[in-house]
Amino acid sequence: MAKRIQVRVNGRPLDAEVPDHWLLLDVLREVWGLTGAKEGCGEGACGACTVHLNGRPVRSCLTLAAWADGGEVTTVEGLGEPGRLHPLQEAFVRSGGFQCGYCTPGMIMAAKALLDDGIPADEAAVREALSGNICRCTGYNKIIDAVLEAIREARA
Amino acid sequence: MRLPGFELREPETLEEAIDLLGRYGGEAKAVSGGTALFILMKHRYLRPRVLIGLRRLEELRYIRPSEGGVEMGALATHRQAEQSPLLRKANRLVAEVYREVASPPIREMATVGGNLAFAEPASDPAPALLALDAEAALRGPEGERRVPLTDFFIDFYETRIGPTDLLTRVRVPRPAPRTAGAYRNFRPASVEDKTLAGVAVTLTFEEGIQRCVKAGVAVGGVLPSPRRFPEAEEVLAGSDLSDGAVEAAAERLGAALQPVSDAVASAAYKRGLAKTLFRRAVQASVASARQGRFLEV
Repeated sequence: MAKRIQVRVNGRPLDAEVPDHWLLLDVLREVWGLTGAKEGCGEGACGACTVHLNGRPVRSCLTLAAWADGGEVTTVEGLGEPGRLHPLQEAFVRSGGFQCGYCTPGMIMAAKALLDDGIPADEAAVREALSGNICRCTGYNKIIDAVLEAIREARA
Repeated sequence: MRLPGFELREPETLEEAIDLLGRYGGEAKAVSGGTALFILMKHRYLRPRVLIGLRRLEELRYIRPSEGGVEMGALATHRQAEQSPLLRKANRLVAEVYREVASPPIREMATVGGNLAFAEPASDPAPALLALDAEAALRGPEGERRVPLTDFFIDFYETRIGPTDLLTRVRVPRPAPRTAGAYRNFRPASVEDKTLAGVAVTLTFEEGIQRCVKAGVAVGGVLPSPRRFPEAEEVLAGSDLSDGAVEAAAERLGAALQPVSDAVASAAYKRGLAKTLFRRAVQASVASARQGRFLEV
């Protein structure tokens, strides 16, 4: 069975004809060409596929494409673009919060959920927010630094 | 990793969902958050012909007061439970254990009903809900029946939910006055690893907080399914919770536990671990009670 879904992705209305068993990650990457969200583990453990669905962070590798029908999805492509980065992206660049970059879109989207909550966030809260995102290159300190810096800027 | 093919049905009402389950019987699986079921399907351990997606049943996405206690609709997410102002006031232990599960984005997706229905042996919420005398409501073609969680879990990933039943809500009764509690767990490495052992303890005290009148003890992780241990509860209840009494209860717990040896740890290691977590959960509960921090604020 297939179904036509309509989703507002990064502010743009998109649609696609997708089989019932397709995941949001499948349609983002393979139909709409949005390759920011990555597949890592495919089981929700690594966080590389994190996007926002209706304002909340979710694993696109465990979310049916059908569940996004009629909703809003934000991927890392929706945050900024070259020359006009989101403050979180700027902070990652300044802090050197990545090496290979595979985990970065997921890290950024998980961190953005914390910023969007708007509640005061200390280092423990940042570590908690990123606890489901795995990076195999940097160690996590620079990533944590970047998010803390973005939080300080958002408050200033 | 792709999911195997299936037909997705998304009922708009609970009645319709029950109808569909009745119609497809064993060929269909109900799914809410998908964080557990989809992993098994990706590995082809399960290949249901029909999936009944429950996300439109907004009527099941609540946490509300009920009969003096609290009730969580099956579709309430872990995140909702963790952040619920009602739970934080009415029964902190429930809010605390949902925060123990995986990571924030998973908790946005995973539901209270899904967690119990999946019957993960290493579930963090299950031992606390068991120790708190929670009961699940199952709705089938014949109507609704309430099942105490102590009768709910049968074996590895197996519960009393029949092929045409839907778990609709979980009720946690109001804790008796002067009841404190704690949950202590151990995970081998990162937060994404499963809990190897988890122990929930509730202690109800006499006035003056010297003597314990009632205890709840439940263990998850080291067994085929989470379970309560009246053997240890009997020793705590009526005692002054002295070191000697707690040790005697730990010994009883250790003797009653039949852990499963596996690639992660031996039965002996798991038994020792469960006893240690039990002592810590008792100590934390006693410390809370002495500070006047009870489950209900």
